[in-house]
Amino acid sequence: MPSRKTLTRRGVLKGAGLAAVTFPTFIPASALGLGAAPPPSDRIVMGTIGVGGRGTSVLRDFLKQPDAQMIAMCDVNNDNLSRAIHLANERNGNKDCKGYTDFQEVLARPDIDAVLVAPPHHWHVSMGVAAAKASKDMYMEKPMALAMSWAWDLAAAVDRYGVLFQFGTQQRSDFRFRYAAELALSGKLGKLEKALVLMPGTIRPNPLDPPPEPVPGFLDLNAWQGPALAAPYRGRPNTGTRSDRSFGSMSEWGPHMLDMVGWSGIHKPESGLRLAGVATWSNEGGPEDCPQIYSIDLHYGTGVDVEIRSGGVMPGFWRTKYFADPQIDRRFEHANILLGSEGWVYVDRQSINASPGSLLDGLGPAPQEASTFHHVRNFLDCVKSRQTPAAGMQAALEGELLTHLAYIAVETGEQLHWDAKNRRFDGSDAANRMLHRAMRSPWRS
Amino acid sequence: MEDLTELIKTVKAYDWDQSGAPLLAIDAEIRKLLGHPDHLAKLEEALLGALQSNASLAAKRGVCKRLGLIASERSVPTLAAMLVDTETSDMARYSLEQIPSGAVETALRQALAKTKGLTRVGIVNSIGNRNDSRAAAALGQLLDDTDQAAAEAAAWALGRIGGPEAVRLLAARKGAAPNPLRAEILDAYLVCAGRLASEGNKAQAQAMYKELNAEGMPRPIRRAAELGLKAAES
Repeated sequence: MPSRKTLTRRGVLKGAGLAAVTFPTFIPASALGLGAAPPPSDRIVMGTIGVGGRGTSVLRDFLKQPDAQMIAMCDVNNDNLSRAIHLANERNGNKDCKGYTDFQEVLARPDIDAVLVAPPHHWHVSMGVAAAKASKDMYMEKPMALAMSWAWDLAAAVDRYGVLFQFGTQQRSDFRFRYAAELALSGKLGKLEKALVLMPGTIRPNPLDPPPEPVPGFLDLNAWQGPALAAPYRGRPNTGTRSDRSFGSMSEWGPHMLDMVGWSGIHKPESGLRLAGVATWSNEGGPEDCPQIYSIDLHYGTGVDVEIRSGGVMPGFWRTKYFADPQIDRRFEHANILLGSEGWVYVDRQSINASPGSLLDGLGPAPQEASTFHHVRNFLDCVKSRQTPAAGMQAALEGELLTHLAYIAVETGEQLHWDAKNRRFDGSDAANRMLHRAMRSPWRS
Repeated sequence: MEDLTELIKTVKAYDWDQSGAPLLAIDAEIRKLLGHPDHLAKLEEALLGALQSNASLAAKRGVCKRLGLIASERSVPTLAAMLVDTETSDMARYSLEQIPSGAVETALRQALAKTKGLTRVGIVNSIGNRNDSRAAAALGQLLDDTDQAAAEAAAWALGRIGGPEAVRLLAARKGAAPNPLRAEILDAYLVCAGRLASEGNKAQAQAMYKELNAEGMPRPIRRAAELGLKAAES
């Protein structure tokens, strides 16, 4: 699997030969054999923070791993919590999994090695920083942060405490996406000239939420809102406006699809990075206040361009020229297309295509399990080996940064120039202000 | 430019059971006016009018989420008044933290003495995010406050601010404070050491890491100090 060599404190530690002293020694999972029950000394003891829809989905992949032992679940929604505890107990064959509503209590447990962090987006950084301080390795769902200043704080905490970080960009462990990235990195596409990125737009009704109503007994609303500005309960936990918690489809899909820009080696912001974009927003007055349909162009000083298009504004020839199956019209259309001097490759979560077709000769068969299973497996293996995971912090920050830059470009409507060295935009005051936002008290990053 | 009077009228009328369209109209107006300082100043003035009115908290919250992108020093007094009100403090901080003006630091320092509880904790967090070294002494006093959340926030803020005064204040308390305050102080001390190392003051950084890697320090801190020390020596 392609991975970047980085100088990190962990690398320094490893070079100094301290790993065996500081960290427990694990037997690699490959030696255990999936399906076998590893002895307790080889198990990674874990907790999960945030067991809503996505959290539970990833949790199920952890529960499939024989060497992951989930002993703690945390959620401020008691319905979610009960369901997750039941899943873990069923898998463990006992009733030992404990439930929590305060994530700090999970992190305070010395018997927990690692945590799955999968609460709503606005919570990721505060919980991630707390996990790092508690010396817990973490698998964190994407996106990382609502402001780049938060993401940089999390990266600093992960580095400071030397904990292992896997971002939930499971396409890094998808055999098709890996193959596409390897085609680019190996030079088989020739000189990369352009990347086309398709992400799903938000095309759905945006009616008003119900009027404020009493908070139901199963939910701790104050804890759910956490660092986001307070808002009254309006018929569902997902309350307030969407920009309180995310950038809409951009933050759902940006870390996945813009990840390929970094992974393929295109992202060289130190060469100069200019960008601009346009978008549409709902005028129906509901809580969806993030960009819905968008188009952003990036120009690197290396001469490589990146065109980001959401569903609704994708040029028709992308479908007819590059799609593996132009007839398929998926609900969440997404794709990475890398164009080089010697060929191109198209990839999405169900298909891959290339020209010339011989570029795909080395593609192996589809694995039995979906990509998140393999991403989880990679995390557990790296917890044992102390190697950088497939979506370690440096890789994660690249996709996260590009997501934020794209969002800021459409929100300001300005022509932007990113100064990578100083982590600022040249000449755009409003864009620079969008690199940070305050958290509701008492939360911080 | 849109008719600001009409726009602000609809913004003032906004509440949770109303359409959010007026708030999105502010976003559109900001996008249109960026690069036109005179027009932005008029929009800022109009938004301040909404904050000074009897508009709902929902409307003021929506305005604060947007005002920070364009606000000048002129907005600080209005936001500073909201800062000391428990109902509006967080939304005011949302704007204030984005405004590049020394008047913000002054307002935050002044608000420290006028607030308690969660409101004060939020203000301390904002002071940390603004890296306001002039607040170090006040934060040092808060380290001894009976409000543990405020003391923890002060430690965190001192770590972000750094510098000799912050290091001195944290060093004096890193051995004796009760948990979880001690954990926050030790983390802030780690942050200060890391900054010193990155600035080239490796000798002091190494000395601090050695203090943190001593017997009796919590395991995560010792591990982090060990990593920091190795990095500083390389």
